Amino acid sequence: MKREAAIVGIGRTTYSRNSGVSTLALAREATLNALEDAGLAVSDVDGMSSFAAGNDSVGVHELAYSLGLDGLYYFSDTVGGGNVAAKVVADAVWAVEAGACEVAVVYRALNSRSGKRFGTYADPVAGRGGPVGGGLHVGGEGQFTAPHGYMVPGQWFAMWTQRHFQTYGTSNEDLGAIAVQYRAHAANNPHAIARAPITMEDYHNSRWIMQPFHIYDCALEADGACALVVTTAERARDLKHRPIKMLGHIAYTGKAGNNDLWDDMTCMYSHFVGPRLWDLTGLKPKDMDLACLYDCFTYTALATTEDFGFCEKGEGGRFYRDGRATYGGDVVVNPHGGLLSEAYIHGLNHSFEAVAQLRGDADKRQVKDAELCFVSAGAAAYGSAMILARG
Amino acid sequence: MTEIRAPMSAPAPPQPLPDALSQPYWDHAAKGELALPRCQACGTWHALPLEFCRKCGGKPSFQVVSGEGEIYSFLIEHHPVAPGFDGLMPYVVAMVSPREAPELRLISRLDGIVPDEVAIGMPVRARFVDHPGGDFKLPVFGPA
Ligand SMILES: [Zn+2]
Repeated sequence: MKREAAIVGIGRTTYSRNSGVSTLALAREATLNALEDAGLAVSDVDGMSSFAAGNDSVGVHELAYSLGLDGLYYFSDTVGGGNVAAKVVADAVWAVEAGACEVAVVYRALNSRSGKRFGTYADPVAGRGGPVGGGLHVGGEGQFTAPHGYMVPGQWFAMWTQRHFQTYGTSNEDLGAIAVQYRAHAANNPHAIARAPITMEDYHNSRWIMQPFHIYDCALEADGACALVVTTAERARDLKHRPIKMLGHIAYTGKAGNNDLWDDMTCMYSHFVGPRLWDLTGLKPKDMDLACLYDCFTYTALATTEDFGFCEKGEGGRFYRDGRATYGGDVVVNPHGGLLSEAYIHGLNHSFEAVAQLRGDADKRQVKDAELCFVSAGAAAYGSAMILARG
Repeated sequence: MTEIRAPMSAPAPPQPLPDALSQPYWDHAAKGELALPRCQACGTWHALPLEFCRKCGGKPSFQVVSGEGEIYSFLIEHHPVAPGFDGLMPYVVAMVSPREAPELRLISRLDGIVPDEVAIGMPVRARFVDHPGGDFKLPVFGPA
């Protein structure tokens, strides 16, 4: 008989702008909190799954060793950005289901505000390279773009956004509706870094970063870590919390991961992932009680809200402006405030929120009777989505 | 003109680091020519220098094009992302569809067009400028 897996614990650190500690310290704290939440001991852990972008985190071997574990039967350090933030969870679920391990910890730890920032070029994002002879020398694909001052993710997505503006008449009013909505949600989340409500006027008056993006269109770079614990459904029965199950996960990666090569920039990876995930699970967007949609930039949320079928293509802005993405609407999107207002823990904090909501542990921001949560991770040419359910 | 004019003491913008596949691109650029990879077997244009044509497996090589095209998308950069651009703020980076291969998008800084007047579909043409801080010539697109 096939083994089933369940998410049985969640843990996190404080999310801040300056943790003052190493990524190892962050990863340890989140992991220990998740294990305590689950009611499991460090010695129960025999699997780990994590991800990092350009050595910005601590790998699973080092974390396991630091925690006193002499070995792991399942271990996965995925190289990637937010596009793998759901996949690392699915990998752990599958590892447990396959019998590769009994208790797997999934974590993401980073000092992306005080340490290596995504919006800088201290460590090149585009292609290989780095400081050589006092200047930046960029090879690979980046050699054709970095000399033009085009080298950070926000710029890729700005290009995509402009195509959506052109095709559907979308505007900053639509992007702003998303920023304002998520911030309103964050007001009820004590863990969110940015909790002060903003108005549409605040949004329009905020400074440009890369037009059409204002500062409020960009995720809140942060320091912190979060972790999830996965074990067998059988073992979950004896643990502290209601188990959470993964009903399905679909990932997609396109065009060699080069976002400039994508054919139709008004659609993202979600255009391919959505239909397959609905098909796989037999569920529909309207079945979802809430959705934690990856929102590295407002446009990512807008395009994927459409692609996953929560509204018609081109209607993403209206969907938010009409209040369909909040309490009392179609589906509550990012009740924690998302990456835009809670923190940019590279998307794994979406899975944390999904579990908290499905357990009924989300306090003031609890979505009533939440049974099904859609979780997405990634943007542009690559990403994935999964559906989590109350067990 | 809003060309980068970096004095010796100013930080230079990022420099290309050519490899065996890309070297011909920079050799053409040094002569003021825009060249794009094209499969010699099936004629497919490619956005990047490839070892193998992704349509037929043939061998692409560089072919000189007119440098004419139109704007496919663009952004206006207000926030410095690397040294060497401070004097240019805000600057525009565009995706340009070249006339000979409109399915491709070339990333290029625009020069000579007021940022607020840039629009998708606008015709543009490449010219080559000395890239500060090294020996490279770089195509920048401006009014056609
Ligand atoms: Zn060919």
